Amino acid sequence: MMSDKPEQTRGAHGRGALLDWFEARVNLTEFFALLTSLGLFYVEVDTKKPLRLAVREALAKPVSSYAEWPRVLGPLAVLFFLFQVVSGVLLAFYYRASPSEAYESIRFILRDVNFGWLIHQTHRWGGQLLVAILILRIVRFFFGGVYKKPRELLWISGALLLLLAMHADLTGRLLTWNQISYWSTVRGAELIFTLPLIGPLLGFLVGGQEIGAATLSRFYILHILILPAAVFVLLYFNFATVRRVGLTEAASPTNVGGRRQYRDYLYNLATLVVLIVGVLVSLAVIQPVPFYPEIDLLSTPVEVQPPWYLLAPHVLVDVLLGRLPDLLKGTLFLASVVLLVLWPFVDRSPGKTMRERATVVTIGTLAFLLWVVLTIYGVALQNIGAP
Amino acid sequence: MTWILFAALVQPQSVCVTCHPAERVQLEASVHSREGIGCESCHGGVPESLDEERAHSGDYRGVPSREDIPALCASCHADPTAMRPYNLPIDQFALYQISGHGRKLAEGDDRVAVCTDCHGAHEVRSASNPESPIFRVNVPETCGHCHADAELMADYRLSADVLDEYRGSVHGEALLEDANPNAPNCARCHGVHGASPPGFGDVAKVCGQCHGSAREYFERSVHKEAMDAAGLPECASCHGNHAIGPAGTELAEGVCLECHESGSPPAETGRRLLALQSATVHEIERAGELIEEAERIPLDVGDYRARLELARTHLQEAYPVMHSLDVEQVTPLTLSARSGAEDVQREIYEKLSDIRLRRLGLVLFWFYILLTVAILVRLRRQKKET
Amino acid sequence: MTDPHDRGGYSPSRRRLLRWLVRSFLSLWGLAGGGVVFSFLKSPRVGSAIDRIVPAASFSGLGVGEGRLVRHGSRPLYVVKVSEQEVVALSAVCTHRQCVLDWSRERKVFVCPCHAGVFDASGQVASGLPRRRLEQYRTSVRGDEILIYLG
Repeated sequence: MMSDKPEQTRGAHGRGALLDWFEARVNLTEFFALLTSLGLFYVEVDTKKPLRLAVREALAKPVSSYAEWPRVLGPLAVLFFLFQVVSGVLLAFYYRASPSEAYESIRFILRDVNFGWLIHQTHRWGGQLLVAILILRIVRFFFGGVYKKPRELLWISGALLLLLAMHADLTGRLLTWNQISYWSTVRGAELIFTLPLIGPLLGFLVGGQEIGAATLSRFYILHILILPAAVFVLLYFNFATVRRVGLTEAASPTNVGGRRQYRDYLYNLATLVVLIVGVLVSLAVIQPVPFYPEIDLLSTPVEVQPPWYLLAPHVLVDVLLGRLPDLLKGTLFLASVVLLVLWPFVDRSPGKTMRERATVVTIGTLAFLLWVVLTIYGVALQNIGAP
Repeated sequence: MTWILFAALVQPQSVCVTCHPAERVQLEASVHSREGIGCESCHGGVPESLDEERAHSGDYRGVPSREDIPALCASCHADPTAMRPYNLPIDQFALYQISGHGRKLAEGDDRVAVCTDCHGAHEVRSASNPESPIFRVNVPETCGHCHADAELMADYRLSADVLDEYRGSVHGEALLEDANPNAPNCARCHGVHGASPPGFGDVAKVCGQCHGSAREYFERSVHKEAMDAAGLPECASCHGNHAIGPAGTELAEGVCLECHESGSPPAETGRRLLALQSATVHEIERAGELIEEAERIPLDVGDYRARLELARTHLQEAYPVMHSLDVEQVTPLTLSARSGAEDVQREIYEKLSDIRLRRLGLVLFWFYILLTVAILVRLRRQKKET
Repeated sequence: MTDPHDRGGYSPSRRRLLRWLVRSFLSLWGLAGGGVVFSFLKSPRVGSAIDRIVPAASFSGLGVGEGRLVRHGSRPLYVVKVSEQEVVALSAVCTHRQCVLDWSRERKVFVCPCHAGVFDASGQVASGLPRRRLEQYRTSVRGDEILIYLG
């Protein structure tokens, strides 16, 4: 075990002397603990030990049931997020956030920059997949009862992460400043502005309720600074609470699988990274997001809808309940969002298994199915050209 | 009696129309009746009388004979004072007299067109009224009443195919199908009242009313002198007079050989001009096809369309210059059109091959990915057995 | 403790080789990723294609057989009208010792004033000390203007 240092061991150097030099001057383990806040290691790190020891201890810590596939959604979300950060930074080298230059800078990236198309398309697809993963994760949390005490914070941070990811996608879309993205953002924003209290507040944040040139620069800052920072903070909370309360054991007693070491988990992560890159690159090549025509503030394309994750609320609020007064619809929408975020405080029953929580599970299933149906309906409306 | 007075007050001409009701309907649409020109202005007689004998007395002329009609109309329409309030021209009669129709009429042939044949007798409408036979879109049909009548035209040894030829021509299509107000009808080239075919040496002047650039280059070329000397109708000798088709490569292909011997220097020049033209047209069409193909993929073709339009414009510019018969002058324009189209083609090809390359790269990439995953899984299992 | 790498009969050198192979294979990911990022960040012909296209001369102003020296930045180029329909654009720098060439209309060749190297109208070395041919650039004609694409 001593002779082979796995390549993934953080901070492993051939020359111990260099490490000692640093250790004498700064607490490297503290730095290591900081890095692990993002969930690479969700075990606690003892910052009093020297780095090599702390790392070895962490790697050797036993982990159970982490390899169950439902649990992959968390790390998957983190990996996607990191990918978005990296690809986003690369794109920011060329993107220009002013209405006169935005469209052309995107065209430049797609056409002239080496691999520009790859970075751009993987960034766009990565955003969609991130939202999808966070949705699935919340659903998994719901059905697995992973919000019962003491895991309320896990659920809340998960729900907020989902909302933040949706907003990141929304703000990011507008940056391409083309016909489709602009008008679908307007649609999406209209929906959000119907929320009482929050709506006007957000409107103020983006510089008025009309999506115009000022909105572009504010969305840009939101997209590259504020939202990522907020996501980092929430990720920290997410994994900090896991560190404190531990992972849930599988409810069924069949989990007797070998207690593996943490370093094996890292192999899994590496595999995930490889597969994620593969999927994203495949999407970028096979199904690239088209380069739509330039923005025309005077004409709305008929087929434009809000982004897919907002289709369900859009269908509900604008189509089905269209005739109700705005305030009522907005309150309904806000209420459902608040319900989502604060769900752990709504269902405080102690039952863990699905059978014990039959009513809740049934309601949840129905709600999820409703969401799916509304989304499909929204897609169908788009295809037949209805508003 | 009161009825007559009443009628006379309200509609002065309605008395005649009591016995001639058919004319009354026609007169209602007439510009003459609006101006108070009564039946007696042309027919004479006593318009207030219901009694046939009395009505048809005095200077009653009855139906004017055809030879008399032009002079009759001119009695008002050539009078400057009478026409001044309406700002109508007064030269129609003078022009008519030098026209083909007018000259024949003077010789005693009354089968030719007189004023009423085109303008109508009682239902005279303004030329800007779409129901008028002389409304610009209706002119070909009006002329065709006689000029498409084979039997009638045979007596004058004129072709009766002109109307059909015109209808199938680019001018006819533009006027009749596209409703293009700038497209020429018969009167535009032949003249209105002074209608006659243009003289051979005047054809370029007529066509040059619209095709000024082509006329300029033509008149500077060797063709002008040569054709005038040979009595050839300038533009019409290559393009036709009525059945004018699109001036594309089909035209240029055989037309030079109608006069020039194959292989002779003029025919060679013609061949080279044709070569320039057809090469350019071919490249432009190919580029257009590629753009359609690329759009289906979809690829971003935004500025390609614009650039191809630019190339097409250069080609259009080249067409009048071709009349100069000077290859050196034509070449820069066709070359720029062609290279524009070729550039577009090349860039699209690059894009298409880019896409194919990416797809191939993806397949190879997945081999690599699966191999990596296999290695990682294997490594993990190895470590596990510690 | 069993050697974790003792997989039934592999010799130590074999094992080391395998390990090296695996490590280099996996590190290809790092290299590929680094390559993509580096290539991405390396500014491609920044700005639009306009900067790489040089308006050289007037097409009609150039006689057949005439060559004109054009400067783009610090790069001298020659544009020669070889026939009434064709122009070529070549680098005007001799590949021997980087002197600027002269175009001789009578002989239809480029002559180097330094060591008398000769290039023909297509840029190939005709005689003398130069070894490599002249770099050629794509041209096109827009309107009356000859454009050189520097790529």
